[in-house]
Amino acid sequence: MAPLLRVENLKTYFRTYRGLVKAVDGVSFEINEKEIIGLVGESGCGKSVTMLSILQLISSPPGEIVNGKVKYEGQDLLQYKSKSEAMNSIRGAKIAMIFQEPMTSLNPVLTIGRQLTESLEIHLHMSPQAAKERASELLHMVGIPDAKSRLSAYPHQFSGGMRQRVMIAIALSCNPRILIADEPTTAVDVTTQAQLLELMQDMVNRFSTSLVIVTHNLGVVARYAERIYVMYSGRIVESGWANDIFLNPRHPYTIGLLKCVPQLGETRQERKLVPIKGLPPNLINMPATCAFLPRCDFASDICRSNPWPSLEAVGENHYIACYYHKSEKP
Amino acid sequence: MIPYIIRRIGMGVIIIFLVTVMVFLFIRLLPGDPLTIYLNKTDMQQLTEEQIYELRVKFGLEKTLPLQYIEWMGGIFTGDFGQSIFYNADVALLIRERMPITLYLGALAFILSGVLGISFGVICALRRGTWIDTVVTLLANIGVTMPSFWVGIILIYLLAVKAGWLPVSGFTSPFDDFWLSMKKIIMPVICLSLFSIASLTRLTRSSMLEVIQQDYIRTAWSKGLKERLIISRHTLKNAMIPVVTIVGLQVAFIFGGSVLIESVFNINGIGRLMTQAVQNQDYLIVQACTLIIAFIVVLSNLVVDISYGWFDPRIRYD
Amino acid sequence: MVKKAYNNIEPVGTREWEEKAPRYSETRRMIAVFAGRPLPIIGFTIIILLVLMAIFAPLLAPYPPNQMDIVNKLQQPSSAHWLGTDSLGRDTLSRIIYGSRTSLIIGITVMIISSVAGIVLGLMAAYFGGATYHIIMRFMDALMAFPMLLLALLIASLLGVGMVNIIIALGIGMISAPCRLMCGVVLSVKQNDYVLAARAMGMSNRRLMFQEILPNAFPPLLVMITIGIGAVILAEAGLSFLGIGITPPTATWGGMVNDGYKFIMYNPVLAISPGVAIMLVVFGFNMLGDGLRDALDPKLRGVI
Repeated sequence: MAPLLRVENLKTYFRTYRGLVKAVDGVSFEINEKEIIGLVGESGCGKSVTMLSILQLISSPPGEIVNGKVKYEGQDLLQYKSKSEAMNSIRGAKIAMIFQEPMTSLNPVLTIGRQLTESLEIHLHMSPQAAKERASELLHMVGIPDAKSRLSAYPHQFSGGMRQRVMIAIALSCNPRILIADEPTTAVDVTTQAQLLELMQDMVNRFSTSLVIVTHNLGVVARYAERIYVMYSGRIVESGWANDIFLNPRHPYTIGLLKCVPQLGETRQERKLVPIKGLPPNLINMPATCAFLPRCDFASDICRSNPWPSLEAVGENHYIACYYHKSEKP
Repeated sequence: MIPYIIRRIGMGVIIIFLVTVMVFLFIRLLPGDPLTIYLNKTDMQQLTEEQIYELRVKFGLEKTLPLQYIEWMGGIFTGDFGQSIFYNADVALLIRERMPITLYLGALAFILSGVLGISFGVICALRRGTWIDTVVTLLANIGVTMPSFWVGIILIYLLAVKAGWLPVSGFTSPFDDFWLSMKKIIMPVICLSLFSIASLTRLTRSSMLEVIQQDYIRTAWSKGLKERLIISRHTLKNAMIPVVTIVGLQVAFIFGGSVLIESVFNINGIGRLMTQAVQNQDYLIVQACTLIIAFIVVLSNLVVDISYGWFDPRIRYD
Repeated sequence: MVKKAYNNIEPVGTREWEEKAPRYSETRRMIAVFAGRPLPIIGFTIIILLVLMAIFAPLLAPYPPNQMDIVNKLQQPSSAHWLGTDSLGRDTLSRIIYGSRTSLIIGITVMIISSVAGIVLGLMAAYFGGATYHIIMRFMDALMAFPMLLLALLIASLLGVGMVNIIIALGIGMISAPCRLMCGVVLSVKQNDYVLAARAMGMSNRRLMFQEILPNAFPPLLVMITIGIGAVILAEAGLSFLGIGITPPTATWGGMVNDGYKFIMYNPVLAISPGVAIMLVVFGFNMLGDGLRDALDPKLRGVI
């Protein structure tokens, strides 16, 4: 079956006064219907920028999408201008997004009800009355108590977790085919994290939406994602089924990541937490070789003398971008 | 919202009270007491002790200061501001003649500066980086440096003296002769509002730009709303929050400016009255004018504060 | 002795391959922002030139500013008098050059006085809180009810004319801005977590004030003072124009506009040139203030 969304070789660069930042440097991935995808990587690796580029929400003076195709149902979205009618009808209605910071993502001078009903009125052409009813239902669905009277409340009257629920309600209000969650749980406490993730999975099942969870927290995607992409320094370095990635990581970065995460049941004697040595690279003036090179335990001469490797299959639907696996015996 | 309004009104009352005390004390701080000034003006130098004492009683100067204050305030409430020494007329009458003129001029300047200033600022912010933005912003930056009286002089020289398009000076009520009054009022209003227009343009522009960068605007875009809706519903209301405060400050500023403009354009308003009163040491007029102007300023700041609550819901529940 | 597993864990950060994160000097960034745009540089240059002009006025001005030459009164601009002469035969250009002294002195003195007084009052209000805060703030509110020009007018009429009295008058008028700024900054900083953290470490109140709170107040204060000088110069010009201000024969730009106004038919340069001088100077201070604000404002960090 054709993928719902297919991103091909996306490149988004930022011109800063210190140099050109290649935030996203050739990223390709797919999202199919009704699946949950995880996009994992450390802070600054470009995962948020990738998602923002899909919806063309990159602020244009410093940033620019210089290459790539974003094919939604076969149609390349990057052909449309950012502010065009076409893009506006995709955003919110077909592809929706929720952001990391619930405290600042809602407009402080508008009521929650207004912020919910406006997309309903625009995309689904509902009457104000019908929109209000639907907004009430949505709030109830995401677990906001006393939904009807809360419609006239303002964002500052809600806690962070509740605001994020409202964001989820807004994002799902027009039944989008894809929901992108950009670090949805980073800014909330652990209990709320669990609640929000359960909520999202529940909503996704109810609305038959696909979900992309962008996070740096492996624990979050381990439970919910079916497929995972691992990003580093603006590129995808490993992709595959979630089980495969966790049980059989092949890229040195993924291996390193998993070594940092404590596993339930292990004791201190059994395994040490080993951090990945070194620091994330500066994205300005990157060398042409593999970006993970300075931090890689498996680095060899091939890595030092060749450009960044491209993705190659090492198993069923399991790809990595590494020279190491060629010499390793499976 | 209501408790907020009540609290603001309460503060306004306190401030007005403080203002009256300050105005009252100010006059009492003049070198020489009011009586001496009166005596100097009316040239009655040779008076016996008794007669001086009588005059003091007549002017109420023998009572204690707080009593004098209460009497004075009592007079204010009944509309009695005293008698002007210089004009030999009721101060209240003099003010009543001139206040509407200044209010008319000031109101026109205020409306013009608000409408133009905010509009230009919004346009510049939305067209950031284009030639419109660069030119208008530069003009605004220059506009805040121009002394209003100097602009008045130049305009009079160019448009009235050289070109003869507009009358040189004076004021005509719109009820008397509408077209003439329009021609006479154009230059003063422009001069009076120039600084405010420029300063509001700058402020609105920077406020809009700051709001546009906020996360919630990005959320609005991600919902697929049209640009026009995002600007009108999401951006403007937020951007106006700091602007409203400054708009309120323009009231005080325009009153201050009217002193200069009325002098340049020979308009018989409160500003002119005050300048002359200061020069003539006609303290009762000075007192009354200051009080009324300060009162209007406090009132307008109160209105601004209350409207603040409408713009920013977070304040309402403060 | 039991060998504990975690004895083997070396603290991160001691191995050779640890790179140092690149350090971007804050000062360098500020200078880069400031120098990166033309307007602040122009403003800065104007101010420098102004100060130089004021200091070296006797050397630059072709004639003494108060030297009268009735025979040559109301001359048009010529090679002898670049901007012509006024009604008493005084050279306009020289008067403008000397006028810079008046403007600069008044502008700077007024801002210094009002800032010091305002800062002290603001600190007191924020530090002591309670009744002190309310009294000071209401007093400032009442002061702000008087338009600055009117207030200066009143005080000048009370005290009489003369430079000192004008400075006092304008100083009182400008006091409320630094007071409120200081109070606001101190109040907001007081609540910040890093102040709590410093207190928890046992920092004394005085050290807190100087090390944590004042450095945060410094940038907006500096910007406010810079722009305030421009405002004071404009206000002083207005007062001189009305004849309530510096006594003649001292050259002040506002007074020159007033003098020139009467003779605008004969020689418009008399009235126009001082105004241009005022504009340039205020523009310089405003642009300098804008540049400072952009360079010092933490919100803009990294956003360039």
